[in-house]
Order: sequence, then C-alpha cells, then structure tokens
Amino acid sequence: MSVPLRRLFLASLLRRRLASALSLLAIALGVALGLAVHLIHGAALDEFGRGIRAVAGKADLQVVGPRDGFDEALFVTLARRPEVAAASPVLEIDARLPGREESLRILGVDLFRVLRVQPGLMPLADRGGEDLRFAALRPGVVFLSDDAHQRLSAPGHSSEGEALPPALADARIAVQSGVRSLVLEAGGRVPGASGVLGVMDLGAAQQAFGRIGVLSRIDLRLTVGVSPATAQAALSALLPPGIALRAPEAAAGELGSLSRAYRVNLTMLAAIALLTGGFLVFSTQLLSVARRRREFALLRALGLVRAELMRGLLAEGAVVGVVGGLLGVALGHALAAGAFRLVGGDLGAGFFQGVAPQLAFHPAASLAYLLLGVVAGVAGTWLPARAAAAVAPARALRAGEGERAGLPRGDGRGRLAAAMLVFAVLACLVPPLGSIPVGGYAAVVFVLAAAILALPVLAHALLPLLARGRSATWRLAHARLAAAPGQAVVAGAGVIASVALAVSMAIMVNSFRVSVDEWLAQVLPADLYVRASVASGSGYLDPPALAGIAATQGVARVDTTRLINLRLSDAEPLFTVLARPAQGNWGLPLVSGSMEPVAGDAEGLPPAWVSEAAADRHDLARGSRFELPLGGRVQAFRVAGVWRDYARQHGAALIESRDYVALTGDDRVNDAALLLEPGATPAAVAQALRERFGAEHITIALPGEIRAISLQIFDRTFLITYLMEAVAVVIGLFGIATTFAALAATRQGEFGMLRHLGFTRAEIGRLIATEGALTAGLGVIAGLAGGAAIAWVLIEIINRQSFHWSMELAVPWGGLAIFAVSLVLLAALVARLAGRHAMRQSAVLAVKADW
Amino acid sequence: MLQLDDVTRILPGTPARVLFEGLALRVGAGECVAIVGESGSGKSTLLNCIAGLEPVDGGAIRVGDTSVERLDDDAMARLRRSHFGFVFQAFHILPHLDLLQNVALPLWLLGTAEAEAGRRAREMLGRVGLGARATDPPQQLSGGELQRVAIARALVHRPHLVLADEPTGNLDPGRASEVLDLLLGQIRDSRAAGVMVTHSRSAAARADRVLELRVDGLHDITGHP
Repeated sequence: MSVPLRRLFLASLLRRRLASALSLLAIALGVALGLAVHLIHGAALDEFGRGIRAVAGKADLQVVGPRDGFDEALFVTLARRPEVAAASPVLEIDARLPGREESLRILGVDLFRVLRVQPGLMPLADRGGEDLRFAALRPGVVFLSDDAHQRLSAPGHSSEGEALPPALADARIAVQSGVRSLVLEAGGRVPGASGVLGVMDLGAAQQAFGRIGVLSRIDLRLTVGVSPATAQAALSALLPPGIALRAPEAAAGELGSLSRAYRVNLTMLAAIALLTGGFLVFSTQLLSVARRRREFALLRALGLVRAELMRGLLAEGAVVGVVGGLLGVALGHALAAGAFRLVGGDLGAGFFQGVAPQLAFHPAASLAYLLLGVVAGVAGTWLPARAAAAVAPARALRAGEGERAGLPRGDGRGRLAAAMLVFAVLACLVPPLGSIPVGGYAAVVFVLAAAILALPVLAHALLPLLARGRSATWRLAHARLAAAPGQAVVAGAGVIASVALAVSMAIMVNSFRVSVDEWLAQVLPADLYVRASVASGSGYLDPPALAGIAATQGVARVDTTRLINLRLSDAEPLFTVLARPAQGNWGLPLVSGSMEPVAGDAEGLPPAWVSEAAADRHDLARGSRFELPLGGRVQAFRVAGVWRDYARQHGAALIESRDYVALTGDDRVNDAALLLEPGATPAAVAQALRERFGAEHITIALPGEIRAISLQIFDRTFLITYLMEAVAVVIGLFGIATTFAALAATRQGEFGMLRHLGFTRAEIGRLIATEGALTAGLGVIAGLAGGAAIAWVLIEIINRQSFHWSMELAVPWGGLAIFAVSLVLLAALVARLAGRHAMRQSAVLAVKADW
Repeated sequence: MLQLDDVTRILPGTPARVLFEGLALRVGAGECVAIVGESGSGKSTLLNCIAGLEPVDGGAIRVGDTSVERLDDDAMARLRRSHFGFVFQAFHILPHLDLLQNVALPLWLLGTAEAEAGRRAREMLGRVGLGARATDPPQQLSGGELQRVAIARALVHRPHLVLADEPTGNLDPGRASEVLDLLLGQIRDSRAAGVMVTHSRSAAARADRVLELRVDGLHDITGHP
C-alpha cells in the first residue's frame, strides 16, 4: 500500500480524536493493570529469592522440616556422610520484640562451620582487639545485618500503633522468649547479609529461646563431583518423616505457589479490563467504518483491492494497539512503583511481608504486554474491517444509504449464545491444571460471550414491554433501539463486560465477607484470647504460664491451642496442625462429618478434623485415614469431619491436645481461649493478666476486636480488586461515550429535521440521554445476568479450586441496585455529553446534508 | 394566515451583504404560493426566517396571531410543532421508524393519545396513497414514495402553514409532477397556507401565485414564467 494511501487510513484516527483517545486509554489501562500485577509480584519474588540466596550462601542442598524444628541428632548423621563436604546447622527464630509490631529474624549458626557454607552470615565484631569468635560465643550477643541496624535504630510503633522509641538503644535490644523479655547485646555487624536479620551462636540461641537440641535447617555443601540429585537420592533415606531435602531456591518457588492463585486472579481481572478495551476498539472502529462506507466504496470503485482495504483498517487498529500498549507499559511501571510505596509488594494480600522489593524494567514482560495491546487493537478491528471489505461499492455509493447500513443487524445470535452457555457448563467440569482453575476461567469467557451475543435477543424481548404511552422522545429512542439492536451491541458490549465483572466480584466478595464474618463468630466463641506470639515465633505459653492464667481472678476455664507447621512433602507449602481440646468443646464450623470420632475404628486411630483445603488436596472425608509426621515419626489419624477454614489456604488439621502431647511431649501452647466467670468483665481480666505477665509479653484480644481486625484485613486484600473493577466500569462508560459521539455525528440530519418539526434543543438532549440510558440499561441487565453466572463460577469453581474455600451465596441486593441505577444514569449523562457537539449544529445546515 | 411586513435579512460578514429588504407577503388559508429566484438569492433563508430558524434583521413575521420574531428558541419550537409542516428536498424520513410512526411523529410531539395518533397517521397515509404499507420500513420505498410520506407527515397535525423547500428537487419529472399535485391538493384540502421554494418554473406554475425573490423584495410574476 502506498504511503499516501496509508496516510489516508491513519488520518481517520486523528479525525475522530475523542474515540481514538478513549480506545487508546482503554487498551493502556488494561495493559498497565496486567503488567503492574506482573511486575509487583515478580519484584517481590525476586527480592525474596535474593534474600534466600544470601542466607543459603554456597549451600547446594538444604534440610528443612517443620517450622518448629527437628532433632539436631540428624546433623551428626549427615555431616559424616561422604557426599557432604560441609554441613552448617541453623536454628531460625522469629523473635518477637516485646510490645512492638516488628519482629527480628534471628539465625543461630555454628560459627566454626558457617564460613564454609554461608560466608555471607559471618559476623564482624564491633570491638577491635577482641577475638571475634569469643565475642560471638558469649551468650546474649547478637550480630545485626545493616538493614536490621537501620530499621531497629529508627523509632518504632506498638501493635496498637503508638509511637515507641527505637528498639535498638545503647547497643541493646529486648526480645521475647516465652512470656519473658531477654536483653541481647548487639555485638557487631553481619556485612554480607541483607534483610532485617540477626545472627547468634547456635548454642546461645538454643538456650536463649528454650530450643535446646533443636534445629530448623541444615545447609549442606556437597563434595566436589557429587551432583545434588545423587546426594538427594542417597541422603533422603536417612531423613525422618516430615523432613525434606531440597535446593535452596525451592523456598522461593514455594512462596511463588503460595501467591500464585491470588496473582492469577488479579491478572484475570486485568485481562477483562483489556478485553473491555478490545470491545471499545471494536465499537469505535465499527462506527467509523459505517461512517466511511461511501469513502471506502469510492476507493474500491477507483481500484482499491479488498485486501488492501482490510489491511489499511487493521493497521488503524494496530496503531491504536501499539500506542495504547506503549502508554500502558509506561503506566504499568508507574502503577507498580506507586503500589510499592503504598501497599508493598504483596498487593495487600500479606504474602510478602518484610520484603522490600525494587522495581526493575523487564524487557520481555513489557514486550509481551505491549503485544497484548496490539492484539486487542487488531482483534477489535477484525470484524469491522471484514464487514467493510465485504460491502459492494455500487450499493454503498447510492444516495440514502444511512449509517445504519453499516451496523450489524444484531439478530439470529440466540442460538450461538445458548451454545456458549453450554460450553461454559462443560468448562466448569474441567479439573484444575496445577492449582489453576483453567476450566473456570474459560467458563467466565464463555459466559461473557453468551451475555454479549444475547443482547439483541434481550432487546427484542424487553423493548416491547416499554413501548406504550410515553413522550415523543421516549418513543423515538425506543423505536431506534428496537429497529437497530445492533447499535446496542456496539455501544453496550463494553458495558456488559465491565458490569459482569463488577457484579460477579461484588457478589463473590460479599458472599465471602458474610461467610468469613459468620465463620469468625463460630471460631471465636470465647470471651477473651491470650496469645504470646505467632506460630513460628519465639513467644509461647508454657504450663506455669497457663497455670497463672487459670489462677487469674474471673477466669472460669482455659482452653489452649498449639499451632504447628509441618512439611507433608518436599513440594508442598507448610501444613498447619492445631492441637486443642476438640470433643465436648466449642466445636468447629463443620461442612461435613461430625465432632464425634468414627465409631468402631478397627485400628483405634486418634481422630482428626481436617480443613476443606486439606480434604481437597488429600482427598479426605469422614472415615479417611490421614498421616501426619509428628514428633519425628508418621502418625495416622482417622478423619472425623471436614471444617471450613479461611485462615490457612494450604490445609490444616485439628487434633486433640492430649493426643499431640502424648505423641510429641511438647506441652507449650500459642493461644489460650478464656471463658470468664459470670460477672467478670473482659477488661478487668485483661488488666489482671497484663499485670501478671507484663503488658508487652502477651497480646490480649476480645473476639470483637479480632473480628474487626480480620475484616479490616479482608477489605484491604480486596481493595485492589475494587480499584480494578472501577477501571473496567470506566472503560465500559467510554464505550457509551465514543459510540454516542460517533452516532450523534452521523445523525445531524435527523436532529436538524426534528428541530424543524418542533423539538426543542433540550428535547433532543433528552432523546440522546434516553437512548444512552436504554442502551446501558440493556447492557446492565445482560451484565447482571452474566455477572450472577460468573459469580457462581467464581464461588463454586474458581475459589474452590484456587483456594479450597467454600462459601454461602450472599447477594448484596441493595448495593447492586444502586450500582445498576447509577450506571444507567451515568450512561445517560455520558451519552448526552458525547452528543452535545452534534446538537450544536445548526438545524438549517443539518437538513441540507444529504444523509 | 402568514403575514410578512418589511422583512430584512442582512448576511453577517465583512462587508455585510443585504440578502433582501422591505419584503412583504400575505398568504391566506388554502392558498399556495411559490417563490422562485436565482441560486443564492435567499429563497431557503426566507423559509428559515419564517420558521424562526434564522433571525431577521428588521420587519415583522406573523403566523396566525403570533409574532414569530419575538419568540425565544423554545417558544418557537413549540409554535413549529403545532402550526408548521415541513417538506424537505432530501425527504428526511427516519430509517428506524416504520411509515406509520414517521407520519405520527408530529402527533407524538403534541402529546396526542396513542390510538388517536395511529388513526390519524393511518388516514393520512391513505390520503397519500400508501395506506397499505403503513408498517413497511422506509428502506423499501422509492424517492417519490418517500416524499409522499414526508407530505403526510407535514399535514397530519393540521398545521396552519406548510413550508416546502425544493420538494421535487430529488425526483424525476414524472414523479415530480405526481408529488406536486399531491402536495398542493393536500394543502388546499386542509385549508393550510403553503409556501414552496423551487428552482423549477414548471413546478412553480402549479401554485396559486408565483413570486420572484430579489434583493428589493418579492415580485409577483404569476402567469409570466
């Protein structure tokens, strides 16, 4: 195609500046959202991986076990093996800083071995002259990384958000062990380590935190010539149950799989925003092609080949895609940078706490998203271009061919819509790929397609109901839509996609929130909760502390929970075991089975109640046999029931406290749930407990507070999805704006004639607004229906398969009604504004135009 | 029915050009006047001034008892919907309405009840010979047929004044003659006043009076083509 001819096509983009700009923006937003999600997660994972590599140093393999650690005897066994050149034992403690929000990760290492395996962890004493090793061997000395130094020397804040002086003062720092404080001396630096962490002598750390004889990890450097695979094969047999041997990088992969479902969900939202952008290109190109029918017919009559016409139009779409994509790539980086500053690398979901990621330019990802933008632009133009190329020039050149001739007639699609629904149902039956619910996502696409294809059918069915006894403006708007439902498809496709997305997310999130609220009420039945630390932390409640709690005035009963994180296999993320008195207690939010153990168990196995995630992942139901590596051996349990657990995505099992203590000898607990005596107030009991243990060593929470905080975290997690939905809805409204701006421009003759017949300007404005409202109304109805179907897919298929969570359907009727009505009103306003230019045109000039 | 006194129109610009001045015209009920003149003489502008779609720079225009030049935009629109009928060269039939709806459009604007509007539009379509095609879409009609629909639309609400701008300009001579007969006949039958602007001397000759527009006013040339 010649350059002037190419210019002819591209000039058309400049002529319709508003439509081109909105299409560009829509594509840019879709690309930007997708790329931002990708960049943010990529950077957070990179940073996490870097941290892992720094800590693992030259280790070829790592022995890892449950969070609580394993018997250090294993170290001796492994260190003697010929495959192992050097072994370095590590005890990892997440040390709570009393009364503060922050914690300090402390690695207890053998200073005589660390240099050979993890040189990055080698400490450097501050005091010159003193032999480093002696300094390090003194109990109560910790060496801090530069990051830790910086963070801990800055003013901190308490768990309640109050400002506190720096945790590190006069080279001293207080950490918590059990329910007591322990003051450590900052003896020097760890120049090679990154992240907020401290290094101690292994023996000193074991003693300080009451973990004598326990290791969290053993890092191995292999003998030259021994491959990791060979070593893994030889050494695995020596490992007790629940302990795995793996490459250090596997930890990053584990975290990646932890956050994968969340990331895929967000990417899916971005894809729908991009799809809406594609629809917008489709609308504007279709209208533009309809307007230029005569121009094309003339060019064809003058000798332009069909394929050239098609190529010229596709090039217009590609230009929109390229420019929108470039804009999107820039915007995506800006969004990612902003998100790092505002919500951190976890996008509000809490997967990467404590990781400080750096934004980097990724050429491959940027190019991929740019190409997606181009695909959206070209795909949006494909059908209009084909329609334009198919028109017979002689017909299009005839006078009196209106703009309507170029629009799709929009009928006969009912059967295709029904077929799409059938495909959606079939897709729901497809099992997940990995933990990605591909069938569910395909079903979402099919439902969207069905909703869009069904729009003309919906128009045929609904419009007759609105036909009677209204004003001239109403009748005209109605007649126009009834005669050209294709126009509704063109303007409304973007609205349907964005409304369906917003509605489905609203229904899903509301159902989830209502279910979480009910669940919290069920799992938090006590009057007061006392906690010393998180599961892997350094704080715990031992029997004397529990006796102290029980003896506190006003406490009627104390129930305890021990949380243990186990490793069921090399590949899986950690599995949580909760040990607490189960039967005859407050019960569980069961979804199947019962609190009664299975009667007549031939093996006499102790009972376990597993979460839905555990049941899904390990195919369990009441009566199933389930093995857990506890206390260094495999112990079988009989599943008595399945319960709903929104707190742990990767599975949990509840077992009786007495069974746990009998199997492991571990009698410490993390949480205590208190039932108060009649007349005792939670505030008075909390005060008595704080006086007994020191306010900074325990966290006391009322169920109401925990619920409030949990729901706050829930809302924060979904904030990003609300933002993305809002973007999609705005893009949908762009569709209404561009369609009506383009249509109004082609209808100047009509408006001029109506002004002659006695329509006032205000009435013409009302006519356009009514058409906008009717178009959006149909789009909203189809979007609501599609959204409800997608919500079902999200709840029953996508969430079940990604997160293993079930929930009760709860439709936010009021919110949806307000949303739908506002959107229709907004569409009316947008259409009215878009048509303003055409209305300004003089009625006299308008009727002169031959249309 | 229609009365113009000393009407002047000056086209803005530098220098401003006087299009016509001191123009006077009276058209009674049931009478049809043709206005001819050279291209650019201001024939269509005169129609637009009468319809209140363009301002006048002097003089008075009365339709019935109402002075057009004193009305604001909305009031003029309301006067047009009740007192005026229009026939355009390019027909301007809405493609998304069927014939009956196109004809009923002025009645919709006046708030006439649905059944009554339908009955009158159907009757009007019958009078222009398209009674059997009431529910057809306009796309199936020829140019002559479309102009018949436009004539039905112009008269369905019994206006006092019908303005026609080159009503036969897009039609072949045979069709033009037919349509003209219909238009003039219907205007006379409904006792409206008619003003028709045309290039065609033969079309003008069918009117009751033929006036030529010049800068200094309208000159009666009836019988002197």
